[in-house]
Amino acid sequence: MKIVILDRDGTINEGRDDYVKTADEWYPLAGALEAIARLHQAGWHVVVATNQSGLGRGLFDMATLNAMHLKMNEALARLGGRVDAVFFCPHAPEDGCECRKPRPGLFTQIGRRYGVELAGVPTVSGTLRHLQAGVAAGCQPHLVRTGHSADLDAAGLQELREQVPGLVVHDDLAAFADTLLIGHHRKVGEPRSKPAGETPARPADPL
Amino acid sequence: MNAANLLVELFVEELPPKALKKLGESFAATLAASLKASGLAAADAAVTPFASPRRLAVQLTGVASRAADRAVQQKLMPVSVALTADGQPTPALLKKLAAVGADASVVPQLKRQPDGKAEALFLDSVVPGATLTEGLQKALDEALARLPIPKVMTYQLADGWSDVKFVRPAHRLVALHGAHVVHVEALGLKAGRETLGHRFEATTPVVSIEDADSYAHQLREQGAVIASFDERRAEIVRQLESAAAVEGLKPIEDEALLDEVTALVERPNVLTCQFESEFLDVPQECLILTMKANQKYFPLLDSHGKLTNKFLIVSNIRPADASAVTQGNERVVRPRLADAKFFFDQDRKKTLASRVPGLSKVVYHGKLGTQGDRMERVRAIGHAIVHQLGAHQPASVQSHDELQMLEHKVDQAAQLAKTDLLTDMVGEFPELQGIMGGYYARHEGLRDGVAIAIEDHYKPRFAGDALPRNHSGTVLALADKLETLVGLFGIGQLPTGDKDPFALRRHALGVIRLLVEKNLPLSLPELLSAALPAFGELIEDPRLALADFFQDRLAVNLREQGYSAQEVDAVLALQPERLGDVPKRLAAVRAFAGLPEAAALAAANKRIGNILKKAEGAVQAKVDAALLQEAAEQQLAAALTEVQSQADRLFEQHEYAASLQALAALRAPVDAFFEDVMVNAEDAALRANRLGLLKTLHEAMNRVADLSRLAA
Repeated sequence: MKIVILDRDGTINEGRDDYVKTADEWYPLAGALEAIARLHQAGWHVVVATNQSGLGRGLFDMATLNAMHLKMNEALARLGGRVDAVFFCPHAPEDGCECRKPRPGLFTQIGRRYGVELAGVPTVSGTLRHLQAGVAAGCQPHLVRTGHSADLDAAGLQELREQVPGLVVHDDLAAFADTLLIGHHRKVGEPRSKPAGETPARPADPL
Repeated sequence: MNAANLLVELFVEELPPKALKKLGESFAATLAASLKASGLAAADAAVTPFASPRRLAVQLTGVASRAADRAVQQKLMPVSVALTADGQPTPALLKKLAAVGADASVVPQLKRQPDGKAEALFLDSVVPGATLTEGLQKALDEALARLPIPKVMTYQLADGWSDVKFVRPAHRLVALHGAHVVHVEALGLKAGRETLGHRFEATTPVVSIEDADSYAHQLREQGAVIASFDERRAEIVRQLESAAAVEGLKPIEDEALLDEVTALVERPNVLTCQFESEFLDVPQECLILTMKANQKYFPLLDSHGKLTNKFLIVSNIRPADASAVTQGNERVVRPRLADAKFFFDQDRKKTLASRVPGLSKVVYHGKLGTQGDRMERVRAIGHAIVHQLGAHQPASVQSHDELQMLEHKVDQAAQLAKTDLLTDMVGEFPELQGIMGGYYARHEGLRDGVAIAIEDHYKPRFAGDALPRNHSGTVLALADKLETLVGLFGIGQLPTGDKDPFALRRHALGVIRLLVEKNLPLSLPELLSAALPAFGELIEDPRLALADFFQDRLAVNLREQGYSAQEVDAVLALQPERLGDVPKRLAAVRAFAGLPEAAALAAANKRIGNILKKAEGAVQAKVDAALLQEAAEQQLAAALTEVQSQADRLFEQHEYAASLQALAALRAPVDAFFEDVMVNAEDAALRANRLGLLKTLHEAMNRVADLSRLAA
């Protein structure tokens, strides 16, 4: 089973320092939904793993979270895409739960649900703690330079590489999808463009 | 027994699209069969299955709320054990009665009946029919247990404790008998009447089904869902055709894609999109595959079958402004088309010939070497085939020069035929092997005959596929398939039962079709012998096993074409070497069997065969006229001389039907012979001469087919 695990805020949609608290505050990053649609159509099960401590902090309720995800799914449906499932941690940090990233609880739940070994399953995020949780569960970590990592300088990136062994870097989710969908070609053919992670920023898709 | 219609729906998360159709059919069929078996539904109850991405459901007509009681008779034990001498129940009987829920009070009603040699006691009782709740619970459990689930998921129930394993998480269960809820449970869900409609477009958040008959209607009106798989599929076809008609184009035909798309949407909305026409420079097979396989789009073709830059998408949503959907899908497909164009451009930077050395780096099979080794073998077999064609073909048909030209083309095509496996495009789309080789060969300016041979050498790829279009393609296709068969049989990789991982049956059928339909002047045993040396010491001689394998495939293939087992048997009994002849022989046998003389001649043929088999010593097929004593044997010999020369001449001219027809004149003399002549005469010389006559007759009769196989 081809499965890929994505972070939500800062990877699929714009993150906010004061949390995405309403469906109106949820809006997609340029090209991210198209990338999910392409992955879905190529037979990948796209699963989201996200910390939503705003629930535990009482900033919004389940109905609001469902409304955000309905908005996401509807926007994806327009593109012929779909997210298979959203696994979220509703707890506040002080709850000491197993599922709040960087702990790997959400990932192990996903592995159990789908009956798959997580070893080598790609996981994508712009934040360190998601990637740490993924690596702890055996996933292959992919950093996107969006969200928290949008403004990383070379030193910051180097530090991140040291904290997350085996890290692959992409500009954004679209670049990640490019690599995943034609990645195996690089072995036999010439690279489609410069190696991943060092591509110049791609122009935003016209919306 | 209040009969009413029954509706059961399981509402789940999006089901795997490739499995949905089968899941829906299985759920409905098992549930209905179980209810019929328990007597709750009539044998002729109408069963309506429903299946959408988020639901499996079934409706049954005329379901009883309780099955009829059934009278049963139960054997207890032999009378001698059950009753004492004075007719009182023994402790054994009382114990048995207690075990079946009765007591001593029923003893006077027990029946004595013979049971084998002894007499036994029987208890008549009435088994109450199952209630609908019991029966449906059982049916539902069976239906879920027997679903052909490709891969289960594990999820937790809302209690946060229990685990459920099912194809996808299930959220609601509806079970209605008429307007009443049937209180069954499944997967931790209790049945009710509420379900959900379309994920985005339902007009009410929850659809409360009023009764079993209103299910489809309510889902359509309130839920924005077409629940029936077949109706939804028909609706997609209708919309595809009408959208294509607006453009004056035709959607590509693909039943499997239609099924898959039907399994992806709950209410279809077909929209027309387009891509930049510059992508049309890429071979259309690549673009079509990209759109179909990856994006589930329907490419649009013009009236010449040529791909246009328009395509249809089947969306699950129907927003007021469709342009967001069409533009979104266009954005999604563009990078994939760009990939295809990139592969095509990159691949053309290298010639196919420059890729030949690379074949030696690709392993074909651990015991059979690399693709490079295989290519050399195919070349050698190709040469051998051309030589055989030269040897068997009358010089007038194919000149020496033509043969040399053919040999040259086959050799060049054989060297290049597998090089497209090393291109990026075939790496991405393995289905395009051969097709891309043809494109790249033409692009390089190789002779068209060679390009066609490269493209066609995989044909026929499936039952009913076309055969190669030219001579060199035909020879190369034969060589390629023979290499596969001889090599894999030679290392013991024979297909067994359902397992045929190398598709050897298909390869054998391909060889048969090439030989038969192209009517090639080639002998199958000679071909196998010619292929063998190409392998050197790598393999064991597989020719015996392969000859049997081909014979079986051929028999199956001919029976599928409508020839009777008897006809096939008669022709194949002679193990004809030139398969191109077989259809003609079969037609001749069929025509012969229709003659009034056929039955008698076939029976006589069988009789002669048996006589010759029993004869002592070798029988010579010759007749000494001086030893022909009886009138009947003289007449047969005379008739045979005449008929045989005629039949043989026609046989040599491949006029098989006429050749068999000529034999009809032998019926009367043969019958008279067996009437009047004693074959096993006392006189050894007479006997040998009569056997010789029969042997001559037998050989004359069985050149086209073994006619004894037609005997009743």
